[in-house]
Amino acid sequence: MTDTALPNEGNRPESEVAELRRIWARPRGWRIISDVNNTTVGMFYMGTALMFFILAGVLALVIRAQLAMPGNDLVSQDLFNQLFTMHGTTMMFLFAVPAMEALGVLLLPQMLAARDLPFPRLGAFAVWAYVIGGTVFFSTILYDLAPDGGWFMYTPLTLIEFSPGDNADFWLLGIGFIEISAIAGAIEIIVGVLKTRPPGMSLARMPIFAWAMLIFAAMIVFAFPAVILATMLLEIDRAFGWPFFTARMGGDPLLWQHLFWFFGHPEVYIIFLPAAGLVSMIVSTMARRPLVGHDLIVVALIGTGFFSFGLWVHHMFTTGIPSLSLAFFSAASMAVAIPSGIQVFSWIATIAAAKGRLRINTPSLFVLGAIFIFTMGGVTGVMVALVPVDFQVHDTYFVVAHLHYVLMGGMVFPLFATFYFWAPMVSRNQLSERLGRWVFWLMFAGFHIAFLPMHLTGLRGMPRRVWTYSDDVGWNWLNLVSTVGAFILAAGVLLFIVDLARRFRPMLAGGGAGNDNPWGAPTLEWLPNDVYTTRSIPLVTSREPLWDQPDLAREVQEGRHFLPNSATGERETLVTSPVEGKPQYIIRMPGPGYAHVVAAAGTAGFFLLLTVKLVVPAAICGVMAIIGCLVWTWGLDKQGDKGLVEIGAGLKVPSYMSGPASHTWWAMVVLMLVAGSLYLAYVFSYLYLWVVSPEVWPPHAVAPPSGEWTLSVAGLALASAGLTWWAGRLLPPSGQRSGLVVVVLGLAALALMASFGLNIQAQWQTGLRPTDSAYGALVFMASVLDGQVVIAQLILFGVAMARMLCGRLDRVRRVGYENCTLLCYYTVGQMLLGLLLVHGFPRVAG
Amino acid sequence: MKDHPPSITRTLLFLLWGPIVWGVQFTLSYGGHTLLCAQGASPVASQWGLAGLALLALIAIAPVAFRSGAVAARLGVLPTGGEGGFVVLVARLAAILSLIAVPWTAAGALMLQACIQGR
Ligand code: HEM
Repeated sequence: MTDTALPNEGNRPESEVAELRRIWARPRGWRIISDVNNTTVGMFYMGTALMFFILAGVLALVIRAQLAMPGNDLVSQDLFNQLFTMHGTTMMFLFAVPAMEALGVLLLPQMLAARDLPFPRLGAFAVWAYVIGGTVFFSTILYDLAPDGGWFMYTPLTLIEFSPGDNADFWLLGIGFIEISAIAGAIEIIVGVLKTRPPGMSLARMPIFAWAMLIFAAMIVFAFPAVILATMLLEIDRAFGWPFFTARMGGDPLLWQHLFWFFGHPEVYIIFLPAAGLVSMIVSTMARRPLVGHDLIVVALIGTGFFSFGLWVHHMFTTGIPSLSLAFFSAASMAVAIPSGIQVFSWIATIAAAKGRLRINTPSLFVLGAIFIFTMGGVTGVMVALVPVDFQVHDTYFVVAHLHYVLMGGMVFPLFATFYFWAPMVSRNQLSERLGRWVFWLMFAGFHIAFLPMHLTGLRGMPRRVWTYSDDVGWNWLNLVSTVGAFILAAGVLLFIVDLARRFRPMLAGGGAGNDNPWGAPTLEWLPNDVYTTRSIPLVTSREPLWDQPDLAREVQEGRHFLPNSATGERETLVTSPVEGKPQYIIRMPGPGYAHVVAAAGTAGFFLLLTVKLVVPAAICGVMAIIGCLVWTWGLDKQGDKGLVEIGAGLKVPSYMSGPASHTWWAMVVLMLVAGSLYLAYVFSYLYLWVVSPEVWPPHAVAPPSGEWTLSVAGLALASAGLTWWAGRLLPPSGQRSGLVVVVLGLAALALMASFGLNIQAQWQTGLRPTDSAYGALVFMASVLDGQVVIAQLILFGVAMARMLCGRLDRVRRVGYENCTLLCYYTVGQMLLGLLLVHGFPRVAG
Repeated sequence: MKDHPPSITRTLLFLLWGPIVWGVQFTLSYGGHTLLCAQGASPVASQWGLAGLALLALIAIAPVAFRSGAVAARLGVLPTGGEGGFVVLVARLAAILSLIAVPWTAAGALMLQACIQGR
């Protein structure tokens, strides 16, 4: 590219850099917790995830120590149950998913040369909620309060009759809450990938990791709501006796398994896909050539994302389901090996195409180890996808071996490769290559010594989750070898921590990392970096910009690309069109603050205190959380229109955007997808329980409310939507206020509340009670779910009205109104669908 | 800048068309057969239903698999600057993958008796 084609010609003043540094400056000392910059927040995120990996690893060592010899009583049986439950739960929920989200926060914006993700405070909120909630949750193991029903918490074991005490509640409320934080992160990542790419980075030029993160986050949006609903149902069953899972009252314990695995299986791929993205990027860099079959890998990521939703029943092969279901899910389980295989072959082809030029160092060793281990796990995966094999090895150590091969190969080894590969991006020093090789070989050898024998232990019949075993069943030496292996693996991890302590010097103090592109990698995160990411936002002309645009680093550093300064004098980043990557507008972003921290602490406190039935402190925390959110919301949609601003290449773009092109709109749409998925999971549960126990439904149970009730509820809901729409027509011109809008929005809020209340009354007056049967429970559950969105909607109404009263809402500055409208339409839609199902279905089915 | 850049919703729909159709076929097959069996419908009817559904799914996917360029042009999802190749190729490959997945999903239904318990 010639200089004349660059967005900015000539020299830019150095004062611009100083200003960027001032605007993006990190708070010092303990105030760092108020920071929202993605590098700070991402580092906390990753640090916490790593801490949980180590803690859960320590639990694994205790498990292995207990199992080293027959008849051992190092830990009690009860504690053992807590240990494996906490190990599995912590690894899956507090380590694996958060670690991947952390990379989304830390790495993704750098890779897209965005100054930050589009919603920095939402990201920070997710992190603090996770840090606080996760730590308290984990600490239950110290007080004998930890859940003990296994990481998948099967009913009926976890119903109140069989698991009294608060242990299971900690899992349900703690994990349910941490899922919410994961969803917040996912929304951030989706909007970030689609909207904050650099100019010129079309979909075709997007790095594979960005593709992987996009699909990862989309999968979270569709999968996590199922488990959130499951935890809600079980908690309500335990606390209030609504019998969703109690067979004699029309419930079904298998409903839990369906909902859990509808989330749980995609979860495995949710963990694997970003890791696969990382492997693709490292392989290509180390092989010094573009990835072979780049487009195929994108297809494979998409295929895996979809097909992984069709597998969940393979965890339930042995529960006595119809044979056709066995066939469906067995077939789908084998089919998912195809997209995974495509990726593995692409990596191998890229390595082969390098013709011996593959650099062998710590990151590439970890990548090769990952491919090897993951492939082995894939092979045993196809084995257990065969129903007859699964009948033999279900719930044995064979499955424990299989799951660790896929998780270690598919996630842990790629993550360690990532640590060694990307550390120079955020640390002043690289990690040690010499120690790194030791870490790799210890972990690799230790892993196989620990887990390879477990295949045999399993085939010899050792069930998983047993506290101990007798001397004469032939499992002794296999278990001993496994335990030795686990400690060798742990030695590798320990050495890694030593390496981190010695060499890792994060850039939290300000300034950029000292290592500009040590591996000669092609992607933008290796441009010269500082707190504001890159000095100017590059115009990208290929998929491997740093290979194809050799002067890019210098040009970017000299401010010759887009936005070499702060165009608005505030934190900001560029938004581009999602398909072609053309500049659209500038987002003005918030800086450090405490509102989101208070909101996170309040939300965590609310859920956790509720678990131990400390209602008053829980309520105080809840209020704190709401106040935090309100303060946060109030600061959104900034005042003072800056109009069009110059970003380079003679382009002037708006500094404010509303409507479907805006990032806020997108976030609301994704949020609605989350809420919609949750509701669809409910519709599934309703129909499922009806199929299982039609005898508790009308006509055997009381008939649904009469048509007048239904029409009144629907009429009020529609009136609310209509009034909200009308308020939009009445918005005043810029700088003016309108009392009428406040009144109309107030009426809309009243209509919504009335519709919601009337719906409950309609069911109540028939004499139906939620504790009567699974039918009654499901009927009132619809209102619980409506209640959630109605409360959120009422808050949005309140905010919109308050903004109008304070002159912060008008025809131009209308994001507050748009958010309120979008959610209102969704809420009304959900309520109408609920009416159709809950009022209508029993009539037809009966 | 073009006045009407390709819409992301349409582009995503085009890219994901094959897998989406497979998802619908899968959901309807699994849910439908469970419902039919629960209602005591004839297993043969349920099997023919599943086969028909698979056929419909194949027909729905075929245009994107075999005439992806034309479909992309019709939908207006071809980006400017010669970048269209990627979108078209990814959509086509994903559709071809789904063309394999659809009969694979239905195969179980045709080979096994519906509505009997596995054990
Ligand atoms: C650090 C090395 C690790 C060791 C030595 C280890 C060891 C074990 C053992 C022995 C069990 C079986 C416990 C039993 O059935 O009684 C187990 C279960 C499990 N592990 Fe690991 N593990 C390790 C890492 C991981 C990782 C990285 C993950 C996930 C990312 C993971 C996820 C699980 C899960 C989900 C279970 C099932 C828990 C349950 O049965 O409820 N493990 N692990």
